[in-house]
Amino acid sequence: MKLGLGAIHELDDATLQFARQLGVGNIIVHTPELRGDGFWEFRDLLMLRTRVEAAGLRLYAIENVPRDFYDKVRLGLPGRDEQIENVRKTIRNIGRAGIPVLGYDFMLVGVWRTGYSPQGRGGAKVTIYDHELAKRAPTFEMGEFDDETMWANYTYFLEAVVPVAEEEGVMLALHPDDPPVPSIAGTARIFRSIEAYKRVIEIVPSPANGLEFCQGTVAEMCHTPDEVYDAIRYFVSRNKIAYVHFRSVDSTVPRFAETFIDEGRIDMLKAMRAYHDAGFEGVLIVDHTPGMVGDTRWGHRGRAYAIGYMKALIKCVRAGEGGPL
Amino acid sequence: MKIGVRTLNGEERRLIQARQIGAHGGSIWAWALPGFRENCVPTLEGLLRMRQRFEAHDLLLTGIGLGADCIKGQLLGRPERDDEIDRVCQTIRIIGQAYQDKSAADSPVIILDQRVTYWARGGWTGAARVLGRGGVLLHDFDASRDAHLADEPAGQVSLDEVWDRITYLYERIVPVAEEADVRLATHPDDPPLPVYRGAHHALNSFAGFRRLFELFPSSHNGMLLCLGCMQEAGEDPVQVIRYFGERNKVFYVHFRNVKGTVPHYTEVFPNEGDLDMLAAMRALWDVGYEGVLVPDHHFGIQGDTEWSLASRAWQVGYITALMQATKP
Repeated sequence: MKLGLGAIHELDDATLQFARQLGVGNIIVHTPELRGDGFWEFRDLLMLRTRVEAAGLRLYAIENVPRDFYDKVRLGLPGRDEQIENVRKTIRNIGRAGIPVLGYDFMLVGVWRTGYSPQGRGGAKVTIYDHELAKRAPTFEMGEFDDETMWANYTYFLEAVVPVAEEEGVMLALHPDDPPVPSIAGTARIFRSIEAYKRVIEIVPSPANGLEFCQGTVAEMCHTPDEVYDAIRYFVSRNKIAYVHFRSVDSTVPRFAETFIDEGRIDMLKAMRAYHDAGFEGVLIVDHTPGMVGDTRWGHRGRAYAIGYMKALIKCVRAGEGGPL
Repeated sequence: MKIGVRTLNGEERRLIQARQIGAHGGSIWAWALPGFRENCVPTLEGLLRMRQRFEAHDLLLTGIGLGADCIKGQLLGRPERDDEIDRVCQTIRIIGQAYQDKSAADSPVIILDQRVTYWARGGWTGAARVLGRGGVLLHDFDASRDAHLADEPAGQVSLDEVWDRITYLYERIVPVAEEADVRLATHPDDPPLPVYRGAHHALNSFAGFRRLFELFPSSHNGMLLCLGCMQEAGEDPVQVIRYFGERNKVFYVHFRNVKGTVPHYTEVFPNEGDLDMLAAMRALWDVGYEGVLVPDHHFGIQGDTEWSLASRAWQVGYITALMQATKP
């Protein structure tokens, strides 16, 4: 298990130095702004990797390509085959550039929250999702999309890209639908349960077909914390987790708020123990943290808090703390 | 156990941040209290206001650092010490009054330091900043940086003389602390060299504290167990926790780590030092310690705030996880 910093949109020297100072070894870049019309060039990706390595860190993954790289694929519109060809090209270039993982999602309306309010510890600002409010959203501009359509669109995509990823040694990592509710704005959110995640890895069995295990989202969907620990063991033992968003929430859908890492509904020691015991060798990142007074927009201090916490948890599970699950 | 931070001045913004990173309490310097800078005694009203400010943020005021400015004569063994000690006694009584509804365990401790060399010219000159991982700035101490300096500020002071001064102070303040039901938490001499700038250190070791508690075996006389200082001194901090913890002498803990021992050591992140912080945490649970754990010193992380919030947050996160993971 290794730690990383993610949610880095713009890679700069200060961020790389900050990561080193916090004692993490991995970087996950989030939708970097690279040139390219519909796909990314090998050389730009290589430059990204060598830049991270020059700072003594590893570029472990890129999380998300721009949405318009495969919007027609999600929607199942004409032109999707051209987009898929471009995605394959991007995957090949990522593999050749020596970047091990590409994170992606298959949501039509993205991550959704209905509030951001200072109800966290000490008045920290936390994001909130309340389905009662979200239900009022007008229908998605491209119309309604049901489960069946989304599964069909997704399967078409997955079958087309996984073989290329496997060939290039890139692990594709699917983020679950956050929030994991059946639908928002008339669009089905198919990756809303552990069962759906299991189905994903079964549709196209391949070492390249993996998960971006957002533990926050998983905690939002599981009725009991034990289901979360079970899911961790299930997917880690099958080598399906490329990396983890190690964060927590206070409750499940239909209404939840994000929390500081140590005070949510999940016992993070048990979770860490589950990754460790199942033999997880990937990277854990913070994802996001509550907004603190005097923090930066990116949350340097909140991230520092979570990284310190995770460092100690890893030490503890390696030393046998946490007991049997 | 609880998490504490050093707010130094009790400023509102720091209290908010302390609570957000999950601290349960914090300390201040006595000079942050109205009246103290002028008279070396805080006003009762000022202390009550500070207490309320902490409590309004759901925090405990866990410690009040006396500092050295108001006991300079005592440390140097000068006649003005009688007046100073009288003011220390008044301060203790005021803390007792401000917390008369609380037991001593739930009141702030008074943090005392008995290092003679507080006013050495040039300060703590063996100290320097060195670069750690990713260029993070670390505190480093090397006695050889001081080797050329004259004995300061009062020439040579023998170990007997240092103990005489400590005895003179404690025989006057310990009974007052008992009466006021306020606990005295003495900090080890840092750097814990046997002799520093000519003056001997009495409280730089396990043996020193054992002697202090033999001389003044009061339930209100205990230690601020700085794990870093004990590690720097070459002691086994885990054994120190066990020995004094079992005897209810640990009132406060500075939970920090170092690499190396005197005469040269570097303060490092808790996961990078010579002390196994997990073993220290387990020992603290074992002896039933119920006070605060404070990260104490911080590291120079690029772009950090003036209160070192990123460093503080990292360290508090680390301590919190260790504490939660090992909780019996």
